[in-house]
Amino acid sequence: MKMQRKRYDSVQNMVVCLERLKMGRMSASKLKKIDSNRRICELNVSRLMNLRQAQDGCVTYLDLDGYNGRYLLSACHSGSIYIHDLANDTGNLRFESQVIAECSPGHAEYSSARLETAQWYPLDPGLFTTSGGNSRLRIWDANQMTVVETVDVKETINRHHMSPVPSEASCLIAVATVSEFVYLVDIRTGNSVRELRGHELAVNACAFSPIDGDLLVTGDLEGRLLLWDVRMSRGHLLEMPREKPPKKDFVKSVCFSGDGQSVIFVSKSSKIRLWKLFGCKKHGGKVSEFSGQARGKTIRIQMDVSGDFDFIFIPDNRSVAIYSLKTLKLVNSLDVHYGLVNCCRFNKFTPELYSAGMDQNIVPYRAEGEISRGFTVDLERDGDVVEERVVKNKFVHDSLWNDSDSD
Amino acid sequence: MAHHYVVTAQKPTGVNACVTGNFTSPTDLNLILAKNTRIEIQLVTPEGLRPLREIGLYGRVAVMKFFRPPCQKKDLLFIITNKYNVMILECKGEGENLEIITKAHGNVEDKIGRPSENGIIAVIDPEARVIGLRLYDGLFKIIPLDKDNCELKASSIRMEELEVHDLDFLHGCANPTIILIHQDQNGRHMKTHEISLKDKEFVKMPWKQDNIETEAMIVIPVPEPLCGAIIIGQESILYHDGNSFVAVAPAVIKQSTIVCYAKVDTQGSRYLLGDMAGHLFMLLIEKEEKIDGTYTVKDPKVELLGEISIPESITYLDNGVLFIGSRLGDSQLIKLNKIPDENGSYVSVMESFMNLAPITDMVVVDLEKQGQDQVITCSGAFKEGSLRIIRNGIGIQEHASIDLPGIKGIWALNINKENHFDNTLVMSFVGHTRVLTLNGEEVEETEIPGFLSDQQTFYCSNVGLNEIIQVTSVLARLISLKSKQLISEWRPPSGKTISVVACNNSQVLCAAGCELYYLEITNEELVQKGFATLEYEVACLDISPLSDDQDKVEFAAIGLWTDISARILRLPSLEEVNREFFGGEIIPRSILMAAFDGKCYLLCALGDGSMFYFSLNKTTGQLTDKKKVTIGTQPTVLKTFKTHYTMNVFACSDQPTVIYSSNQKLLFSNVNLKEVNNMCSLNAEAYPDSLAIASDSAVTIGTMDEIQKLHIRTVPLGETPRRIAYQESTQTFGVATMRIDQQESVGTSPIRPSASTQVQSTSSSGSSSGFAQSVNKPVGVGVAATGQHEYGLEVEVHNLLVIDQHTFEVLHAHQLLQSEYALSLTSTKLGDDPVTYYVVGTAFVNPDESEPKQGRIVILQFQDGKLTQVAEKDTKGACYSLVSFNGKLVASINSTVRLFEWTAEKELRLECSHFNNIIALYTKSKGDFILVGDLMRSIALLQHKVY
Repeated sequence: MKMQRKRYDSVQNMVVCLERLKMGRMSASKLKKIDSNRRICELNVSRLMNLRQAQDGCVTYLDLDGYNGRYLLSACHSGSIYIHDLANDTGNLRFESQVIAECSPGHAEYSSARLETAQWYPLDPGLFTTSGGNSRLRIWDANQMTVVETVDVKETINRHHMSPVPSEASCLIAVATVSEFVYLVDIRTGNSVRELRGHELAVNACAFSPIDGDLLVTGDLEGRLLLWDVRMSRGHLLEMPREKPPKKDFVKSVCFSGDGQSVIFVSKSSKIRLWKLFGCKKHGGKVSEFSGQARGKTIRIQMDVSGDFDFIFIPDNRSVAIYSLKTLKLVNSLDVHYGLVNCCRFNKFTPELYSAGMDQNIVPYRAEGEISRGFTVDLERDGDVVEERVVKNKFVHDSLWNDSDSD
Repeated sequence: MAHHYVVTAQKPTGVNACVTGNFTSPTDLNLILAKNTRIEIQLVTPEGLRPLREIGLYGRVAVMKFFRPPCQKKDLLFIITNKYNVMILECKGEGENLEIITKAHGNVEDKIGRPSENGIIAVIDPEARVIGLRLYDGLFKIIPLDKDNCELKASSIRMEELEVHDLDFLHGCANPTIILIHQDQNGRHMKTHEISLKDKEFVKMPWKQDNIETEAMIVIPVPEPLCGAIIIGQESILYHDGNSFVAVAPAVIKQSTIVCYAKVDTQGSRYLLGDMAGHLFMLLIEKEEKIDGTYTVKDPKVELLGEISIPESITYLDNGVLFIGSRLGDSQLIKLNKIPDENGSYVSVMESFMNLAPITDMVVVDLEKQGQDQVITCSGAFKEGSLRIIRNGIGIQEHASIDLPGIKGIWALNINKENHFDNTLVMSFVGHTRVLTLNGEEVEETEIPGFLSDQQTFYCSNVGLNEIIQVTSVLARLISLKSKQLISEWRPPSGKTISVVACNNSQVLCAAGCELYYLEITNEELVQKGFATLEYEVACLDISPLSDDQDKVEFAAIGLWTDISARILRLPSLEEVNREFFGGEIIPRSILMAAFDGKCYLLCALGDGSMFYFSLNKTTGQLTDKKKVTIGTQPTVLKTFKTHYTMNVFACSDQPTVIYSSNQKLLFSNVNLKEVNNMCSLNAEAYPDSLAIASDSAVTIGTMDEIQKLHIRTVPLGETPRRIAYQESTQTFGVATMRIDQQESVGTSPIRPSASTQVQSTSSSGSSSGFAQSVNKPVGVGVAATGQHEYGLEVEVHNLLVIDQHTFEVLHAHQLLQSEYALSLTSTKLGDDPVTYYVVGTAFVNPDESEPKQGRIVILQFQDGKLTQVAEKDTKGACYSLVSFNGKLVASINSTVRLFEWTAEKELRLECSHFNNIIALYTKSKGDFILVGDLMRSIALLQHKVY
């Protein structure tokens, strides 16, 4: 008699996993990982959720509040700012996320300078910061939509980033400018407290570590990447090892991996590379290249990592590419936009991804089991078991371009 | 602001880890058990395990290991917690002065780094040179043990192997060398690394073996002289010594997965293996010495020894005795026999240790309607599955019972005085008294010549050295034990009838209406020593001694009619020292002076079941700290008794209660009896340290459990209980369970008998609704579709059991559809329908898909011993939870929360939905509010508004 068994650790079914969790045979972190990984791999354009289109220019930056990932902040090239409420309290499966606050032409605080960055204060969605186009970093009260503080760093700002690690001291914003200096601004005082000197050309990208709130990485137009400890007054900690002679290949975007061990960066040559900071024999770390490219003419893009779950989302031309950080290989490519994609943001609370770019739309992506299970509320409400006719060939853009649901 | 006060009612019982070693002294063999945050140190004695010490940690034990530094006689205990705190514990002192000392400690957490999915692995070099830790993927940490440093610091070594399944140190190596099993895209491999402690690096790889079994999971290093390693896989066992290997694939181990092992002897020729199904195996490694002094190993042999609790860890103690630490069932002390029993098992269980874990669901129910709640848990898993009935209070273990209605009073006497055991029970009834002799375990009625049996006895006991006193309504009599004849009697001079009486070894206090008489027993004679007339009639009185060495007491306590007061009188003068008014109109029915922990109390129970108690000053008779408690609803009789050498008070009433003291505080504990009229202590030869308890219809002789204990009763099910619900109207519990069946050529058959296979009355969803099977079952769902005829395949079968609330007998088993899991269960009324239903939420589980696509909500009614399906509703997903909500039903189905109403046609109709969840796992309701717990999005509060 041959006995066959299911492999113990290959179970992916949520019900089985939950029972294991209850019996103490699976850890909560593993369950979360299994579920999130699946959801990321199954990400697709949401057919149930829609974000009301209000943007009046190409979108340059997206950010989610760190409290429960409910409010999506978007910055436009035109200088407008929008906040979408992503929660679905309509009681319908299909819903449209509304703009709950905006600063568009006509608003008292509107400035026509192009916006490059709009970031929430990590601890509380009552405050956010914007910059770009000019030398002013503006700090906003999100409830009143008023500017509460303006910090002038005297140089045109390319990018700014605030440490996402909750701490008493995490009020520092790193501001990358067209000059070779990176300014550290303390929002408690509204002053630039320090200048980080090390680059020789304009700094185009900066990002704090999600694990260690004092670690900052910056990338410049020359292609140099520097790692800083913002508490140290003497220069940078590490410089990324480069090929010799170094090629001038400016950095379009940098970000840390979820565990804070590596830095991922995209250069103008469309190369995506991973700089492993720690745990290498060689001083300075190890650089490896992804088996894919991030194309596009934009000089700054926003990419995002999926927290603990080993995935990175990178705008690539008109699509968003999902790469695995373990294998550095492409997992999925979400090809929806008709214009270049500038920015994308992953919501770790809901496993959802949002992307936006030149075509002025913010597109939500989700793993929608509801679709594959084949039901909508409207049909269920009418009564009983009616299998929804899922129109497979229907062009997915349809629901996106229509302002409201026609069905 | 409300403050919540949290106490642990039951310490952890599931065993995470167990180790054996010489911890408390070089000659003591100790068993150390890690139970979550607690560590128990036990001594192994010929009689069994003796608990020595229990210590709590601020952290959960992840790994616990013994090691012995060179030239030491005792072992040290190394522990790492789940939060990466490490410590080395040492035991010092002996007996009472035993002390556990933290020799060294530290934290080895990295600020950055990904915790490994395969959990924490901690290993110690056999020569105690270094501790190795695998906490994060790609890193191996070492803690050198060379110095007597009190801070433990770890250094990291980069490890190329990312997915390590197990590792350990090899024996007999000049430098510490680890052996590990790791996985890459090609399969699993075995590798060794030699560690340089100086450079804190891997220096070389002595040997390796690629492509071992794809599911190899345990590596066992074999001690000298072999110095190789055993690799345990799913189907095979491999021995490798670096140069050559032998592998076997014994059929017996394939049925389940081996999860733990224990070394039996120091040469490493015998190992015990335990698997997930609760099988215990012996692994034999036979070696042969060659001429050149090297060894060769023959094929390893595996023998099935028998069945044990599903083990989490096994440790071998001594003399064929081993400890099975279990997390899914009761832990066991096991003896291995040389000769198999009739079932071919070499295993016999010496002792079993109760374990509640894992509790997957529970209900709190007041089963006896006594105002005392009980917890019924779904505990254990697989063959260890059970229901546990947990109640707080004192248990009486019933040993004998005599049917005798109408008992008014009961006393135990020692008539023969041959030994210190009681041998007679005196029981008084209205108008007569009966005497029973205890002869061994038998009871027979007898007569004592000097005893009045045609009157109701008010009091009776052994007094003085060799006398018995009997007090009736007319007179008090002293009877000699030697001659069994009356030697002295006393009648109230006024000729009034005695109404209440109290007595101790040498003093008697009688009341006849308002008259109070004080007598002393001197020289085999009853002598009246005091008399007083009180304002009102005496309701109750007491002259209990407040300490054991006291011969005569100084104070008497009395309770009076009319003014409802308690008074303290001085003896023998009967002058009043103190009085206390209770107020109200309920007269005191029983008064008692008692000393607990050296502190004296006056307790006075009133006719309505309430009780006042005071602190009593032993020298002045002052009463302070008045407090009131409610014990029952009927008049209460207070009696003292001794058990386990401590003084306790038994309050006999409709809710019998034991009053005792702990930390200078009086505690009241319910007793698991229905109603008690009277009781006395009984210390008979056949019933030592017992109580005789009289109820309306019978006398029960029983012993009392140790005080302050939760009473846990086990109802074994033999299958995994998952959800439980209580239905008051049918006096039943609904329990959703899972058992594992085996696929046969036609249908399936249970692997072992369990609750759902042994019940007479069964039904199934499949037979009751053909519709469900043909229409609802999605294509490709379940094991059935993927392997309809895969012979021997394990199939999970889910049942809803209906269990009687009194007998815990399974009344009915309702089998769900194939591959249908019961995920939620509730008992509720719906809408205007007067019937209470069991509602089951289910999901169809296909192991290949990640999220269930189909499920059902099934409404069932239990009536006349049968469960019938009333309605069902398909859900497009798994129904994770169900809760009744103002006559409606809230269900969380995958990412949605849905509200259903119950129509007059007995159908569920969707009313509204909420969509803002990832997976809504839990729901609770109160008023208009629904609280939703999500897999990833914390909790959300919803409100249902009707417009």
